[in-house]
Amino acid sequence: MAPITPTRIGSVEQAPRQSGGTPLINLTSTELNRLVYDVRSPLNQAQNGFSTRPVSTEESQALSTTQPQITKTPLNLQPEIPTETYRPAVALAPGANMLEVIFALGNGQLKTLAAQANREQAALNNGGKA
Amino acid sequence: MTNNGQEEKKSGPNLQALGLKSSMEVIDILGLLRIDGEPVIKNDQSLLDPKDKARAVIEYFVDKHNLKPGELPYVAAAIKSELKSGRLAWRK
Repeated sequence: MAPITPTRIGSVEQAPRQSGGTPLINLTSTELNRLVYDVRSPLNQAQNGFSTRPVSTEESQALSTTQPQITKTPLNLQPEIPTETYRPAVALAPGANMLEVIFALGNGQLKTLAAQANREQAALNNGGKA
Repeated sequence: MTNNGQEEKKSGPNLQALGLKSSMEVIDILGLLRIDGEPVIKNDQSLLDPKDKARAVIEYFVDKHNLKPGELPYVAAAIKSELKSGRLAWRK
């Protein structure tokens, strides 16, 4: 075996150095936002029962321009009160469906009516006395 | 809210169900990200201390992307599944 000489040491090939640095995962903020949205929508669905979809500004502008303006008219539930003194508790758009009426009434008027019905029932049970 | 929801609020999401081995894996995955060319962990010394690393990762996502700390495991799980499916790739 040949003696170890500086020449021989010098001829040994060095192993290629590994490139330094940690491997990274490149992402754009758009990709991250998409991932966050993908994560948030099922989370919102699980927590609230619905999810919110981000709407672009163009889309919201298009929606606001295409939908006609709805003018609400007061619903007079007590016609015996003169119109000048009548202060409607609810205002509904013309052609409102039954669900909208019930929803609007549920904001307070329905409770008043229910209380009145209870009082009348109690009066009936009490022999017609309030 | 269901019992599972209450438990999740207290102790965070079930990591195993998300396909993650530990909470540190969440930090490791998110710490490897480079978003728009900017690394999540800027100070290399933070890589040596797990607590420091976790703090740096959480601060980055909470401050810059308005993420709640509780949402981070879900994001990490999504990134892991994208890596596995090949939609995301490692870069040296």
